Amino acid sequence: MSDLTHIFHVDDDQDILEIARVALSVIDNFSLQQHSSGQDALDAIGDAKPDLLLLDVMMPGMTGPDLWNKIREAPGKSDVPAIFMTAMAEDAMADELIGIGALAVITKPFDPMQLGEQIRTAWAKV
Amino acid sequence: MTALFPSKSNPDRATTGAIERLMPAPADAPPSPANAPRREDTLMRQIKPLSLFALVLSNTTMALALTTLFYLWIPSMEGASFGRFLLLFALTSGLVAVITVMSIAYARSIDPKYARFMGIWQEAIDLREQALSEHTIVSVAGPDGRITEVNQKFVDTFEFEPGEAIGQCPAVLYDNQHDNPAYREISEIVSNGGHWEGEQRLVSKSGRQIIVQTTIIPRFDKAGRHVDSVSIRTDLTRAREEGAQMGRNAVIERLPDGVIVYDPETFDIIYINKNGRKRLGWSNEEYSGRNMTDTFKVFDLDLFRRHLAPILTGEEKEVTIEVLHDTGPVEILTHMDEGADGRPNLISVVRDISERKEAERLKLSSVSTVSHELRTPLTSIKGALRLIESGVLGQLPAEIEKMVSVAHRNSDRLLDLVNDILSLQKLESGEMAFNLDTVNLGDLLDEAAEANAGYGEEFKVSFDVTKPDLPAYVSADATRLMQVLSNLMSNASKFSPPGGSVQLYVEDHGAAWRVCVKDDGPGIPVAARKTIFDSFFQVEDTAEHSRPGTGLGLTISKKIIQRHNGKISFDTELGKGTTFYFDLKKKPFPTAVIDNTPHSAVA
Repeated sequence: MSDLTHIFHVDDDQDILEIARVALSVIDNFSLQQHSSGQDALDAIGDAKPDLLLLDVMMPGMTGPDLWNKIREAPGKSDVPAIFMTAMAEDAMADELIGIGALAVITKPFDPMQLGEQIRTAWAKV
Repeated sequence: MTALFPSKSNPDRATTGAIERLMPAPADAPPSPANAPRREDTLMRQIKPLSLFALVLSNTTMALALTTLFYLWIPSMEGASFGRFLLLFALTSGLVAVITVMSIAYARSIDPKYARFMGIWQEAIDLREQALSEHTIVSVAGPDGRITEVNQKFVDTFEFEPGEAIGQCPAVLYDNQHDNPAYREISEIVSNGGHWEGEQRLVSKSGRQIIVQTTIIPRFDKAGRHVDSVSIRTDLTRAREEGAQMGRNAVIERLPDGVIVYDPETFDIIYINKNGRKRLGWSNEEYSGRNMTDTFKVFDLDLFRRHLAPILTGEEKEVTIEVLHDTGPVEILTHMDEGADGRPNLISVVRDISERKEAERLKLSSVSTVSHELRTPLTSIKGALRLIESGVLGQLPAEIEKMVSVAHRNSDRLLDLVNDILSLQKLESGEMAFNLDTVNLGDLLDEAAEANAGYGEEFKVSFDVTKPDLPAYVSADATRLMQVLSNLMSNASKFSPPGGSVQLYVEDHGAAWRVCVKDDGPGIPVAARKTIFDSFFQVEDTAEHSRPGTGLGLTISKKIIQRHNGKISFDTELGKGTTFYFDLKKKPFPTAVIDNTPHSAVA
């Protein structure tokens, strides 16, 4: 298990990006890279070296799972793990995401004081 | 049916044929079949006066001629008086009459030709009358409108007892007989000398609708008085029914749903309509000799028989099942009906429900979308408030901190409400999935006590679990039961005096386990007891530090327990406390995992 340092976060909601930034890079000391759309994320992924993807599920244009599939097609990114965040409290959806190999599914609203800890717990499974 | 054909079981009735004069001409004479003159008498009556007159005329002429001849020829008669001539005329007339009568009697007795001619003539009349009577419904009505004569076909068609129709007003044949405009119109036309012809919808005595082609002709005597009206009718009911049946068959053949008619015992297919054949990829001829087991790739006959059992036993009129066919999801609605041969048939209507399923899926995602849209801003509000409140971003002045905690508490409340409304909506629309598994209620109580410990602390209440002596197993969705327990426990905490305890235990109630959550609170006011499970109902809370509920917790709990085929209720006593409980059917064998996937019976 390698150390978790660099998190690549994608969410279409700017406010949530901001709260996650405070939670993960101010309270915790993760190196965080954030994007507000799937396309932005794809454009940037080539130069990035993320240990973990933190992806919102419902995003206009490209869903989180679709983005994950595309990122894994990029060179050197085929093994990058993902944690999904969703505001849809559907058990079936969470099961489906775990089924396709997600490390964890974090439901919104999340507790920013606990977010880093939740991610570390999931990372321990890698 | 019997009214449409001459009755074979009673040939006499069918062959007597002719219009029965069930009532003699004078209208005031009592109607009695015994009074009825026979057909022969009637014929004789019509023949006699004319023949008699001709006979008398010819005989008189002949006698007059002979008398004159004798008178002129016999010499001794010369100078005779007129008196003698009359005497001679009388003698001659008598002689001629005697000879005529004897000749006729002789001819009738010895000439077989004469007898045969009379027989053939009679037979022809009988046949014609029989044919007419078997085909045609005949009735005669007097000037007062009352029926005076009917034929057997009339009696059979309208289901009267013999003789019963006589004296009745023909309005009885019409629907709404007391004031039927069609009947009044016809009466008026006919009594004014007009003929009426047309199609009529009449009713039999038992109320069966009879469609007839009718001609009504009035008869008048020389003085112009309306004597009677003769109604001649042809029964079109069967022809119409057959036509309608053919029309219905054509409609069924062209229905967008698949229709399969098959034998309830062998499941052999009797008929399958165009769309049914198309779905199964069979040509028009290919279905003969096929069986229902050929209709689906994986057809579990026993399972299908079990599915049909309620209609085979008459318990249900129809049964429905959803099946995933190769061509997409279908709904099969089956009922039993009598076929043309009088034997029962099973009729399955196969409906394509792919569009409906798609609509249901979209509806599911619309609940999910609402959930998403409400939770996303709440995530930011709660997240921001939580970060401010935590102090990681800097210490706040006390007054501001107080206000932030008000905002945070209410954002929690709003989130609870959103969650509950969505839960309720999913429960009511049947979208909430229930994954039944074997649940040990004792363990579930332990988990519930642990999960809600924080909540108990908030109200300074402890949760005390008493585990049952024996493992108490039920078939349930553990997550949903936990939701119910959390609801009951949060209510109990809110109404318990600080420092008190909430008791959690399981009772043995024969076929069911009863899960109880008991508090030492003030009890539920009498006025609130009936409506406590209603949406947005809240008992007034006296606790100062209370965290208000959404008013949906008990409604959701009740629906969840109902979905488990269980019962939820409470015992309460003012000043002593309340025990909420739910009963779930015991599960004897805790090994098997129940597959609760709906609509998987046949696939």
